[in-house]
Amino acid sequence: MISYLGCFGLFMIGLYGVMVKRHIYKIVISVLIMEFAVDSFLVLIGNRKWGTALIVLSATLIAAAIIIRVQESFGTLDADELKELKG
Amino acid sequence: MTLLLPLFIVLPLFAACLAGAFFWLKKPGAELLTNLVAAALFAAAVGLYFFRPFNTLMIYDLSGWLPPGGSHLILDGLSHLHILVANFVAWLVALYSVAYMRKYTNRTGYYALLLLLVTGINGVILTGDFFTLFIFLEIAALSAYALVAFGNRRAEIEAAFKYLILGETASLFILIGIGLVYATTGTYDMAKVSQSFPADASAVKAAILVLFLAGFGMKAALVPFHAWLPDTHASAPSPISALLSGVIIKTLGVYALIRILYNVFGMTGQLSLVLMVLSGVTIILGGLLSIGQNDIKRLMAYSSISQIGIIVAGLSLGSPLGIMGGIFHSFNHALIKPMMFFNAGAIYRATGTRDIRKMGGLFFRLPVVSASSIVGSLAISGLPPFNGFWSKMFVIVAAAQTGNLFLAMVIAIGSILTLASYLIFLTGAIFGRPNGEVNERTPWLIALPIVILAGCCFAVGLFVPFISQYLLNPAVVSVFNGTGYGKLMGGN
Repeated sequence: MISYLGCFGLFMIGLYGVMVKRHIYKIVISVLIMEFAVDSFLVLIGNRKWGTALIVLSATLIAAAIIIRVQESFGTLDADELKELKG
Repeated sequence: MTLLLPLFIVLPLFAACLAGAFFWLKKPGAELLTNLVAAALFAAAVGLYFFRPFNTLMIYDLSGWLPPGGSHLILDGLSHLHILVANFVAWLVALYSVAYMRKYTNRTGYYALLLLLVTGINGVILTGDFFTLFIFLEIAALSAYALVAFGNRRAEIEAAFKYLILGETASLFILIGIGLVYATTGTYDMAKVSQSFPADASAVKAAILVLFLAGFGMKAALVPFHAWLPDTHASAPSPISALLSGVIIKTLGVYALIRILYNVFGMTGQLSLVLMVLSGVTIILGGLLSIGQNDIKRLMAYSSISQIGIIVAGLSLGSPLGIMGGIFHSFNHALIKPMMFFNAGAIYRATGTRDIRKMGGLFFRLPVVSASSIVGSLAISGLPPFNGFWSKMFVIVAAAQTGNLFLAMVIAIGSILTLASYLIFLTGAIFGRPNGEVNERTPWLIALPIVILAGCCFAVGLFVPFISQYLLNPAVVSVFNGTGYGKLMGGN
């Protein structure tokens, strides 16, 4: 039971990070923390599908590509500075 | 003819790989390939109507495995309607892209991603188990993130980043829900889950439903989770906006949600109340926010949120007429909104701006685009004789019949707000004093998909009995089967 609660806690930490952190790296790492939490949950219930790890890995690759573009065109990695779109 | 089912996934996937090869070899031809594949898939979706006996299921066991290890593709009334609409819109998007994407570099990569997106959409619609659903959901979502960022300017990158973070969070919510389903029942198969979900596990069921509601609600842009939609729809290239608004929010969001809520877990009164409240807020907020917009694509994006609210409102009522109205509105929105985004793209090409204040008097200068904008605006606001009128009327009548007069009123108010926002677009951009420059006439390859969709809006409005008998009723039957869906599978 304690390990399930650990997974839940890890997921909540990730969710907190996504909502609160402002640095783009930290946001992406928070998504990764959530992914590890869900992955370990899937291990705990006894059915490991490697597909999920691969899928979220590819999401991270796309995130990396977008981060490079953000750095190039905005010149910053602060998510608060991304304010081209409003309203 | 069940062999046609895997074709919807294998053919675009194979073509996407081929387009990827073209990309590395720097060869042209992806354009033609995408158009051929998309047209073939649409033809196959139409053709399947002649091979699938009325109100029956078509099942294809993937690679001959049986559950729990294997999975299967299922074609029933609901998935058939969605596969028809999705591939129709995808075909028109491929056609429109030929002329529209000329100004972009790296078109081969664009077509490879578009084919991958079609693979994901078709997979989500056809799959019969949760795990395959998640995989295709992610295939579609990942290619959508990349396509939103395709223009590579600041607004596009920002929108893609927001979409990526929110979309991945939603996907992880869905994945935990799927994990809980597996932990409770020991299978991923939707039909088996619907039959064998233990009755005493109501707390787990509530947790699963909340997770799915949040995850798919985010994909469908229901109101507390809608923040990504206006940014992505406004920033993506116009054909991708059309596909996002016309197909993706409906298949990845509403279709998956309805399939799971009605066919796997069964609709309950509380659940229907939650959906009603969410959809009511979505209708009003989407309508109000669309009024203040000056960017035409942003205006249309907010109006999409409002229309998604009406679709979910119809589906939440639980009466046959309400479900039919919801599905019909989803069908109509999939015809109208791509046309409006195609129009926005054509206007942007001709005038170089998307700001309503910088355009005016386009009626005589861009006649095809203006005429279809008027048709689309009237249709989506629900004015007769266009298709949008009938579906909104069905939903409103169903809401009144089931005693939800307040919801009926909310939908009517939402329609008025939609009409108001589109009148601002029409008076500002199409009529009024000529303002701004028009640099080109609409090329015929851009006009053709617009004219086809405008024709569809007319035709659907005129032939409602035909549409409802052959397209909508089978879909309503398969939703209304509820958890009987599992029994229909013949012990599979």
